[in-house]
Amino acid sequence: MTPAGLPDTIHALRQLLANAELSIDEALVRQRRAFAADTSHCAVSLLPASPPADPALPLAGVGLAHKDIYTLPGRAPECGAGRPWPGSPPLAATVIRRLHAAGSSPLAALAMAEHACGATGENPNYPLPINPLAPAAAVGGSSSGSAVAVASGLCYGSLGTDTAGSVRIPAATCGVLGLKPTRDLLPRDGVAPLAPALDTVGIITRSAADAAALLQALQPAAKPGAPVPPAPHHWRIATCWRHPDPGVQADAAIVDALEDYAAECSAQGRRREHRLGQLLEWMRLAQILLYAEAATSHAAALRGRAAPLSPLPRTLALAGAAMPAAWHAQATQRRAGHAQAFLTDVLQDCDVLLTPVLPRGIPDWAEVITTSPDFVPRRLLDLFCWLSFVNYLGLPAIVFPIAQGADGRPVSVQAIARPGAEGLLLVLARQAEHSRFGASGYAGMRLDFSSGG
Amino acid sequence: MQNQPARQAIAASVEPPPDIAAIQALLRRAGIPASDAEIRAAARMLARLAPPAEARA
Repeated sequence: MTPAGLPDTIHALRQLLANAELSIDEALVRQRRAFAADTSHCAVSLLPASPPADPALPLAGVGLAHKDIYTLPGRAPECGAGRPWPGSPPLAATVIRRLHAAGSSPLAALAMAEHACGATGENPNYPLPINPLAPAAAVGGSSSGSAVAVASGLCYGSLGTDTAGSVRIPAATCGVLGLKPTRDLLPRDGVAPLAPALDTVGIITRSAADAAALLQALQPAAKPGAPVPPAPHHWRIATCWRHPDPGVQADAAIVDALEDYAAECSAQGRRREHRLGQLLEWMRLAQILLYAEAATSHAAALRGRAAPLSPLPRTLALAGAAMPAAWHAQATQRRAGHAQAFLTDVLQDCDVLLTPVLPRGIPDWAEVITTSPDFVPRRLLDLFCWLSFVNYLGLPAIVFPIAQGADGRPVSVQAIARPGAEGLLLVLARQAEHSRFGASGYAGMRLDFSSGG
Repeated sequence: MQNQPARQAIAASVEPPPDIAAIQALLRRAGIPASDAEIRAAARMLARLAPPAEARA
């Protein structure tokens, strides 16, 4: 049950509503009350109640809350900066309007790293968000409030944005599912930009079925009928556990957990190991796009014509402003070729590539807060070393927990697929939830296994 | 991957990382005020991001 005393999943909530055991109004009142009572610092603003949705809509009664980077009806986002985004359009973001059209109710605007710059939820303008799994554990960023709100059971799902891992990092640190769709699959109007070449609207939920429900609402024109996904144990799996940077190698226990999972997925399928020799180059090119485009997004602030940036976004944007233009042009020019080479080399005869997410588990806040005496720079690099290249290649990826580490914190896997294969990734996650690898993440998640795989 | 003419075009277009003086001048021209410490930090970041030497003309 959630803190509102409601079922954990959208499907179970909708069943309750369909059986008239609870009204939509009551369900939303309870969800708003739970948000108001929360002390995890995941919300920056609670939103007023809107008129109740048509009960026939698929997400009626479902409370959502999104990263404070989306223009909402009548509200400009603050982007973690403590002041409204001056570029906010008059109309709410298309993705927000689509979720509303499906019947969902927005409950709150959620905390984030300032201007989506940061691999953790550290933000000088706000208190640190508290990880519901363990207060000492860091909350990844930049969509930090989204992961905390979902993992705490305060909402059924949240939209974040993922430019270099900003949906997948927080999801993995809080033991929930994070989906970064294919680049440009979902529209980004009404979403404050950081680096448009990399920015992606992403989804954080507690289960694959909930993510599928949100993705369906976000793509009302999408036609069902994706290729039949592999049955459990029949996946064609490519794996890469070793990072080319020797400084960020995964712990043996984490590799063992990932290996166990990959072996079971592919027991009656196929298995191939990869080295990803170009990974460091893809990361470098991703950073070039990020810095250069952050400079453009924040040009007015750099020139003193808009409110100043805090140190991290200012540092990134300054480096971008000083970067030779040819570097950005080169990264842009090489991108399509690199993506095609990846598809040919890695995914030609495999359904997905599996990688670690956090190679040494979930760090403590003290290790990744830059001003902490116990700050370990490599632990900060751990957070995105396996993720940012996926944004450069423009591919869809998902992270979800598949084990618990010796510290009791979840161990997540990342699966990367071909463009447009979000459905395949969600099936993979759903199968994991309904196998012995399930229920290893968010502490409150205990799915009904009898509901089938 | 890349065909040979494209590779040559990239190699010819890629510049080495700017030094501190070049960054100072560039930011000044762009109307962006920055402290010495910020300029040094930008120089360090760009040095790390520089294209591999073999990719440069």
